[in-house]
Amino acid sequence: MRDFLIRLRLPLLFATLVLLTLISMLADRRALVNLARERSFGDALIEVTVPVQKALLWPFHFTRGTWSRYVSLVGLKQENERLLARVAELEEQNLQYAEAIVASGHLQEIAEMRAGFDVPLHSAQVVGHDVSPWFRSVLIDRGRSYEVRSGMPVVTDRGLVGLVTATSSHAARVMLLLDRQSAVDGMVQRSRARGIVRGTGTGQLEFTFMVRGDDVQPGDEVITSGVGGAHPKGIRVGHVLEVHSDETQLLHTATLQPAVDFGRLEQVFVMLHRGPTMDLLYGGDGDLPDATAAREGAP
Amino acid sequence: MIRSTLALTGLALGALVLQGTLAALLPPALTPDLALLVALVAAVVAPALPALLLAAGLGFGADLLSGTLLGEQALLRLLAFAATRFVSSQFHLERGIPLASYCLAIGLLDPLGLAALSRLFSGASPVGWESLPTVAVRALLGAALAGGVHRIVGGALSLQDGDARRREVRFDTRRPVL
Repeated sequence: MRDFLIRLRLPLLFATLVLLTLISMLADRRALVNLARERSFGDALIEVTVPVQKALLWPFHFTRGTWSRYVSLVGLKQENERLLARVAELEEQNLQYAEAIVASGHLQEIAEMRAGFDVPLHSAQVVGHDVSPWFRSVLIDRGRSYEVRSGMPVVTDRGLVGLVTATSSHAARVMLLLDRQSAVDGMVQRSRARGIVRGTGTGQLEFTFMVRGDDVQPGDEVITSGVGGAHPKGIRVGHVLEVHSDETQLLHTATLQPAVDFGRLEQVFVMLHRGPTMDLLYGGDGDLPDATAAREGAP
Repeated sequence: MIRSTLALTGLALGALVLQGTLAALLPPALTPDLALLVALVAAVVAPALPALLLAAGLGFGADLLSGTLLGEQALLRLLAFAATRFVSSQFHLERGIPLASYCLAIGLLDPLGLAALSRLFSGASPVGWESLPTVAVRALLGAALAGGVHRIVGGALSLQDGDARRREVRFDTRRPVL
């Protein structure tokens, strides 16, 4: 009997491990749908790999930073003069827009929208990329100890980066917009045409929309619509490169160039904000960060 | 045994960290799947039990550091382990060209398995038709690196104690006597 069990040890262990993978996949799928992917048991591995990857990437970031700060600033004077002229031009335009807004009586609404947008942000460094090239996600060096939770949007000064999908104590994983599983409700800023922005797994995005006339044109800016509750309204997503129109189809698509340069992603900001939909998904567990505490700084 | 297990564990962790670091610096097609290579080579050259645990550990580790569902890559690594043990019992995978060919084949099949599992469990596949050139280049890269990984894993296994090494000396009935 003992020999029999010893002989079966390996097949039994193999079968157990296979069963474990299937169960964990189903459980993780459920957690992903509920945005409750705070994995305590995975903390150890992430906590070990994040600092090591950070250290390994430091020379590359340092070289790139040195290059961009010093070497590539050769034409700084001409660039500065050009930008000063551009600033003057934009200030003039800004004055005209402000005048127009005041005249139309919408200034209060705009002020309210800005106040609604004013959510605390946590700066974070990208310290690791997805080990699988088929998924587009990054690891950042801020986690639950900084009040970062699953479902929080991540942005840069250029626009939307993605969504936090899993957290550990000191790190979090962010699914990028480029990931094929990513979908964001967006709208064209000019025409307000709404649609879904999906990742394609490549460097570009796909915008699916319902055509009404020439609602979407190349060059149009696409922003988040705020519908769905995952992202606040008005964050830049990208601009339209090409519209693929097929009159026989109800839904049309456009190719978008993301606003963010994902190839040079180093510093990002986690918006300590979860929309009402996310709160509903979480139920009443109340783990939304206290905005005041977050502003005062994390531990 | 303990030393070689520790060495294999360190090797697995190193492969995951190095792969993540390379992913940040190189385009996807030029980022080798080191974790898969280590799992395959270990299944060929290491004793069955440590190799099985290594495959599962590497898979779960990759799942934690990737956008996959937890267990997705672990299942693929376990299946790769089983396939490797079977093929290894029929052919001499320890040699350079057979090992490289086998790694090439698994490198081509692994993304298909990932696509199938993702489609089944998540409803969306991360690998599309446009990814085929990337799949092919990565598989070729894996095949090219297989020999080097074989030497490294072999080196880690050679750290085992002398007694254990003596215990594992056995006749290889697959090879011709002459």
